[in-house]
Amino acid sequence: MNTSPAIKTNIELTKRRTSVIRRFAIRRVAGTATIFGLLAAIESIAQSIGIILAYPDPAARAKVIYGLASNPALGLFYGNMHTDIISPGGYMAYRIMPIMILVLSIWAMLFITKMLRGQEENGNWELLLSGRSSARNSTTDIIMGSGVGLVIIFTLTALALIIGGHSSRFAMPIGGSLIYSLLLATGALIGVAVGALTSQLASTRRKAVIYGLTIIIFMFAIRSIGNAVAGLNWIKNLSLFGWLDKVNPYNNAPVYGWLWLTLAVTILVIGLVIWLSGRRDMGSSLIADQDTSKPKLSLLNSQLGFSFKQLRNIFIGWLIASLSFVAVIVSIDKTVAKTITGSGGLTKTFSNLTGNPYARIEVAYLSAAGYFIVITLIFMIAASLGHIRNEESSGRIDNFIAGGISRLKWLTSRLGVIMIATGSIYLLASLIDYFLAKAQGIDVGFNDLIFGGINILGPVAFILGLGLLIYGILPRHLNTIIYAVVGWSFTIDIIAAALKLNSYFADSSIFKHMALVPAATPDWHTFEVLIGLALLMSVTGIWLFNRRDLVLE
Amino acid sequence: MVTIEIQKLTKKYGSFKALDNLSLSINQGEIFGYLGPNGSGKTTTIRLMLGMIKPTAGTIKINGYDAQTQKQLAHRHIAYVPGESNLWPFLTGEETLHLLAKVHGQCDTKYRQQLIKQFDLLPGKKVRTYSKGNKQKIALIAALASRADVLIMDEPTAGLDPLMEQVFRQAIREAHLNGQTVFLSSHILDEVEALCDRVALLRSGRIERTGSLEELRGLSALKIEAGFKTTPPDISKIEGVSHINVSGNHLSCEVRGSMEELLAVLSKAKPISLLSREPSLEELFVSMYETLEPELA
Ligand SMILES: Nc1ncnc2c1ncn2[C@@H]1O[C@H](COP(=O)(O)OP(=O)(O)OP(=O)(O)O)[C@@H](O)[C@H]1O
Ligand SMILES: [Mg+2]
Repeated sequence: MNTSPAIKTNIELTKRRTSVIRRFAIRRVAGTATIFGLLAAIESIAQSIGIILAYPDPAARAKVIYGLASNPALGLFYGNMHTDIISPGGYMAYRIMPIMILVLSIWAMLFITKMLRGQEENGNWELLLSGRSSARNSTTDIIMGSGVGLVIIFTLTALALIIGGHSSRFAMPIGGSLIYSLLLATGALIGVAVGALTSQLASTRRKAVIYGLTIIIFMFAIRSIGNAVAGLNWIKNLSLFGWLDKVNPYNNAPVYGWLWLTLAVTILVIGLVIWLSGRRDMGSSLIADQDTSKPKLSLLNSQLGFSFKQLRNIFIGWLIASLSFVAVIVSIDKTVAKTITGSGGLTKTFSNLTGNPYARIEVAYLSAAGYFIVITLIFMIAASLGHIRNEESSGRIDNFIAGGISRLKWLTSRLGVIMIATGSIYLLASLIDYFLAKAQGIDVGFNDLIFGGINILGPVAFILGLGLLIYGILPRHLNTIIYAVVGWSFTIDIIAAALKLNSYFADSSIFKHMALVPAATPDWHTFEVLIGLALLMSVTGIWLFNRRDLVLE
Repeated sequence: MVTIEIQKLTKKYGSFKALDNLSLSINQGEIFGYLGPNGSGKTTTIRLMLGMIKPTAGTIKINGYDAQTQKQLAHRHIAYVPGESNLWPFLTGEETLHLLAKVHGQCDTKYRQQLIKQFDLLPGKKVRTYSKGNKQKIALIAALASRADVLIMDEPTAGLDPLMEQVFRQAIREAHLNGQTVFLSSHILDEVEALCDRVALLRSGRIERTGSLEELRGLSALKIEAGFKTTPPDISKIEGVSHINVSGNHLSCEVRGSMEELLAVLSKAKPISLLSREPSLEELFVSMYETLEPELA
């Protein structure tokens, strides 16, 4: 049968429009996929090379690793025990793979919910599609487009491991490296499936993210409990992450079956999502939304109150993150200390981190909690600054400016709220740190920990100041630059933990300029310099913001 | 009394002049129409008035206060309605109105209640679920209920249906009776014609014409149509006559300035029908931008 020319052009138009969406998704995914691919590659390589450099002698290495692996608490974050664990690849799969899979799945979930539910929520699809393409097609295209991100992650990790692990000293088998990289990409694919699913369920991106995080963290927790609690080993079978754990890519006999099974289930879920997306209307969600609610007016009366209302979710998220990090780290302090006391390499890693080679190992380990507090605070600040920029780029700030609220008041209200939140999270996390240490009978001074620890807020303040400066000069690039600085510091730290870096490089990490108490003594001079720079940059940034044009998207 | 005084305003983006040496003054109590095609600089002018962007040169004074250096004072009695209202999706309509009232510092709550009814808005729903028109209504209600001295509106009725457009016009007339000044940027000529005392026609960042509608019409050509028993007379040599179109015994043309000579020639030829018509604002607009088009290239 012949199709009429008019219908043909219509069909062609539809095709072109859908490929527009796919290309859009690819463009969006490529950048962050590259960053996360590099992060995964560097972190993996650093772990495998690091352990070989720290313990060149296989016997010593075996002693430390088996010591670690025998500690059930570490199973919460570390991987599966298997026979080839002391090879560089085996150690890497044990030590870092589960966390990397978790991180990649959360990244992919955040990305896909933004692309699916986020774009739909903003009404962008309607513009792009103007009724010519179905929700099913656009969902398929976004997922296919995002698949390119997974290929990027796979390729970067595989290349890094094959090149980095080919020397005879490391001898990482290529087959193992390919499977390891595929496992990481599968982690991201799980995130895609979860995010795509919750994007169908939830009516807003925020809800889709909350549902998605709940599913992912629940699956990871099941895996972790199965790993850590001897009698409950079987519950790993209930979690996709548990399945991936069992593959043991660098083992003599990897269990590929679990990998194929995970891929099959994930792809099945994605198929289900695509089917579901075709069964609902654009803009609607499967879990009906409560559109009306009792007015809550109490936080709408002042800039300060409204800033808090808007930033609240960011704060709560990072508060929970930092408290749980600190709680997990500190509560296993004693057991970790017991395991690694007397083994030179890891003790050295911790003393590198804290900068004090003489600290007792349990104190050194405890001090590492400060590192996590700083990281969560910095991410919280980056997210809050991103929010501030978003209020401007969306034009929502106009409602205030036109109403006679000064830019200064608008910005400082938000900064005030951010600073109070930062202080509160620091204080709460440090108190948890202190009391959990005390509960285990670790001797730490209250003042040393709580007041000495304030010095770790130096880098946090620095990032806030830098963020404000960029906001004043290059508002469009705020997010990119801040995440680049944090990512750079992070990478430098990871590399510095494994290799000796020249001090010029090592010092370029902002994390380098703080003393992790109580192991190290605070360097208040550095702190003062950081605060001084932060103040200078903040004042300059705010002044410039006050004078520049407001910049829309 | 002058409420908004714009003097020699220029705004450059890089080397591109979005506004070019623009001067304008709007009197208290006036409804001022600001017309221009897409990209002519309407929104830019308004964002400059509100101190959201900085002029490259020139000044804007609102109630005598500089919109750049005395923002607080200048903007104290202003309410603004953007073309595309950017509101917070997680707030309900009612919460948004409360927030905006707090920002304005004043609100006639009784009038607000009345407007909510007239605009047929369901204030309990989340902004996220509102249609484009309903979001626009929130911004309009907030601005009108503030009873601000100056209302600055940037294509405020985009997305409103004809019924709501009538409600809007009624509310603007009411504001006018209260002595409020209204600066109305618009594409809807009909609306401007119905509401505005004076208009400015903007093109590529310059004001081409300012004046009352009558004045603008005076500047523009009058349309003449005439029918004859035989071939129409030759009018091509008469000064001020253009757009001559003869089809059979029918003639149409446009005339600027004095009509005396034209009428004399036409009446001598004994017309059987004669029609003269003032141009609508739309015709003014179209003809003006048509004739000026070549300059754009
Ligand atoms: N931030 C900016 N950077 C560069 N050019 C800009 C910027 N903002 C506006 N322009 C340009 O200035 C000109 C005037 O834009 P403006 O938004 O004021 O037009 P407008 O009259 O409001 O049009 P519309 O009827 O479409 O709303 C346009 O050519 C636009 O492209
Ligand atoms: Mg505009």
